[in-house]
Amino acid sequence: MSEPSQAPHPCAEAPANTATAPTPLPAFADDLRTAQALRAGDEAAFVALIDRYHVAMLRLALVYVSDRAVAEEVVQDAWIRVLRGIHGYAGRAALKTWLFHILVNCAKTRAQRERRSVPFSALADDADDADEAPIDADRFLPPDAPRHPGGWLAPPHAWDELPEERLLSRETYARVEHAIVALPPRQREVITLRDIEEWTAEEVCNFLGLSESNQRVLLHRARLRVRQEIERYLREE
Amino acid sequence: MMRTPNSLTCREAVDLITDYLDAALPSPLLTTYERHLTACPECDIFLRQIRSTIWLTHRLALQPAPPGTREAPLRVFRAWKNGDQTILHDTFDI
Repeated sequence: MSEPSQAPHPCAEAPANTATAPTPLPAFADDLRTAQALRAGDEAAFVALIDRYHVAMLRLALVYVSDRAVAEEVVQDAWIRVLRGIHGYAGRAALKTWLFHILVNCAKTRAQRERRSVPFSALADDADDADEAPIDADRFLPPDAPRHPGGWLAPPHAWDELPEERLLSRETYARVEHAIVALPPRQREVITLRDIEEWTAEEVCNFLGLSESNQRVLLHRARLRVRQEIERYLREE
Repeated sequence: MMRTPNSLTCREAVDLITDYLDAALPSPLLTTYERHLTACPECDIFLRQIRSTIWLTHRLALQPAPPGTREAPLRVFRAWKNGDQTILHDTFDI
């Protein structure tokens, strides 16, 4: 996926005086400089991209293809396409966005191919989350309870009363990761980009084609589930 | 659909947590929500747990890349730079 070339139309006249008719700066000038460096074969510029994005690309690929080896192939393929398409990148969109669109296209295409050899029922498709039961619903009194309707039935217990080593242990992180992997795909997409990768809400909405409110509902549910999983872990002896 | 409430149940307050953290609560509702938090220690705890959850989630991104991460992409880059088509052969068709 590449942007239209900025080469002047063959029939266009050259501007008579370029000093008074400057070319407007592309919106993402730094990214354009990176792209130009890559085109010039600057390996350090590419290493900087790897360091910055490779792990995140792998993580996002795993939302669409569950096998890690396949995800690594997907990311490798994405890098190939990034380099092949870099001549067409003109700095109008953020390089990050452009790069991750390529990544997701590769991942989804590969996921489609994998599906042909796996029973359809074994794969979680793009489930409609609208009918999902509210999370933590059983922790509250019903709306028609005679006293404190909608109040806490099973209130949360503070985590900061636990020793810090417990909260920050490797096992906690493993449980957080596990909780995210278990999320419905659309929730997983949003929490991965918003909370793991810290993309802005606007970036995520544009990238995933979601309304702000839709994105927020998905994020809300995802966070509640992950919180619940952490709580369950911390309650275990 | 939310009425414009003067007060919130705890259930309603939990429903608003993500809006609150995204600074997306309209002003009167924000005031009501913050007032609820002040009066309700359990909801305050729950909010702090959500904040901890976000913090822990983000830390997944802070783990160092495994050794050798750069190898495969660098091979691609060097091949591309040298015009070597064999390594760039697609593993599959689009």
